[in-house]
Amino acid sequence: MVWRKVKEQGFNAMLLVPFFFNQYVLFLATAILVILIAFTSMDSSMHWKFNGIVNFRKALIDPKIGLIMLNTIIFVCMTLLFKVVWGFIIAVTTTYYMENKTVGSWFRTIWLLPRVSPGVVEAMLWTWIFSSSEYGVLNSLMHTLYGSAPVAWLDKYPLLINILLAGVMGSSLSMVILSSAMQSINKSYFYVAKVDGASEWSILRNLIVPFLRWPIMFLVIWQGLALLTSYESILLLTDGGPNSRSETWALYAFHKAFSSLDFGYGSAVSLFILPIVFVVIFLAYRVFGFHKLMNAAK
Amino acid sequence: MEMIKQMQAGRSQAYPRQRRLGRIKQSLPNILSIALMTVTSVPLVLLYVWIVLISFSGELIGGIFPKSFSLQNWSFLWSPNLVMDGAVYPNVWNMFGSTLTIALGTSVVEVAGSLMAGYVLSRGNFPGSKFLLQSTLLTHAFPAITGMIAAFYILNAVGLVNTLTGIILLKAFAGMGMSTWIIKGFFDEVPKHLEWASSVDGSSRFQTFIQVYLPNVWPGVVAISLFAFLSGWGEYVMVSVFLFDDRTNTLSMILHSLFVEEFHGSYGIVMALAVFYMLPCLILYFFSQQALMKMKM
Repeated sequence: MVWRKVKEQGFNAMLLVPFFFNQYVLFLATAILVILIAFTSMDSSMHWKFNGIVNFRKALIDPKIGLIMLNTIIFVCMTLLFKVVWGFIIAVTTTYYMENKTVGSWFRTIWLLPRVSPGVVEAMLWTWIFSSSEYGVLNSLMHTLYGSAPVAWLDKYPLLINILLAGVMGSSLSMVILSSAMQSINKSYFYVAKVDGASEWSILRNLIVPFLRWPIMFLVIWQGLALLTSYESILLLTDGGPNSRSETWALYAFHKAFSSLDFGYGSAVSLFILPIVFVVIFLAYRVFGFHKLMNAAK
Repeated sequence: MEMIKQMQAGRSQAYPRQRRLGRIKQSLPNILSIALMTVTSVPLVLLYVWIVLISFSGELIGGIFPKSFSLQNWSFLWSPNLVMDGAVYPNVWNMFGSTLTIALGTSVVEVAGSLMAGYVLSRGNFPGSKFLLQSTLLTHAFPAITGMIAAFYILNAVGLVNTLTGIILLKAFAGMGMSTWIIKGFFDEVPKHLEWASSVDGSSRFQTFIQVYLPNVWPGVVAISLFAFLSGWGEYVMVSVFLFDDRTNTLSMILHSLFVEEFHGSYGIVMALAVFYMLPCLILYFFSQQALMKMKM
């Protein structure tokens, strides 16, 4: 009996090896390494040369840091607003206002497209739309309609276009989450409200919005963190340019580490994000508990 | 009943205009929603249709409207090298192979690891299992850029930098926490008496796993494999940083370098390559919308 139990736990332990390796060995090694590297002047030669807090001090007096911080705040807030509001609009119109449910699901299927196509293809589409050449989609349209000369849109509004790209790509996710939340609302609430003579506006404000409050809350937490640490779409579309006008904090850390190959400085810059992430996660964990938070992250 | 009908008939005769107005007002949200969604969805679909059209067209009117049908842009499929504006790039099928290797490798490693861990975490009751599960929260929230720098050091130290294996392992481990959590949810739904029944029948744990659990958690397996595949197939950042050998280019890398360098004229080939690269994703998209809609990752 005892032997069987030992055997069973051994079997369990064996199955857990990859997961355990990921959660503890790899994760801890990653965290410790980055913190250590941040205190060195490591470059592509990969030599450990500790230099104290030089990197952190350098980051704080970096002349670009003010602009980058501002860009990051604008990018995170505006993109978050865009993707939650637009995702909400798609979810509510297609699941509630449209009388024909099949038509609603068609529209939802269409808005899944940005989520499925690879990031590089999305970036290519947007580069094509806003291309500075006369063959760009927007420039062609403007030329046919108003006869205007080509405009270098990506140089003119780099941050705004990045917000639009990240917002459109991200709205698929909020649409999926919010429409599944909408579909789980018991239909009888709506019937009762209608029989009572509630107006559409009051149904939206007093019924739908309160029901979607938690999913929206979780979206804001997880997607806010994801946006704070994400840089891929900006890297692909404008690469932070021109003149760092669309450079965000995470992208700056990436550039320092992998373009300038200054791993020490890049690590130090990236470590500034970490406390924000941990504080948000800790607070969310205390307020919502683990299960709610992780279910929302799915 | 008769009376109500009469009343209704009487009312509709008395106030036909109000009733029609009322009906319009009632269906106004429906009409407005359809109008709004149409106006916004049509350009989105049009963009995708348009790049397919451009990829199959010879000449373009004004550089943007397809004029004639041609397979010229797709010639990279049967020629030894991808050639654009005189520049020669590697063979497309080699890049397809590397991309597919990353996507499939990531799915296999990630799904295998998550399936084993999800099973144990859902069934096994052992000290520390709760803590182990809660650690997924930290790894999920950990910023990717912070991990990238350490990942580079680790790959370099173990000699996996510039290999597809290195990318596969990094991607698979990065997604494992979340996938485990998802698949654990599916294991939790399997009734415990099924396992007892199976073990009374004399099945080994492995047989029980295959015969009892796997069919029940299959939708979850499909979903996490799908997401791991799409994520591996679309990966750009890791590939561009950790692979610096021209022989192991991926489709994401070549497409990016093409549209950054040459986006002033020869759209055709870029668009054809984009369609070629997107095709597996589109096929998955058409066949697994149910799974995609369910996945909130």
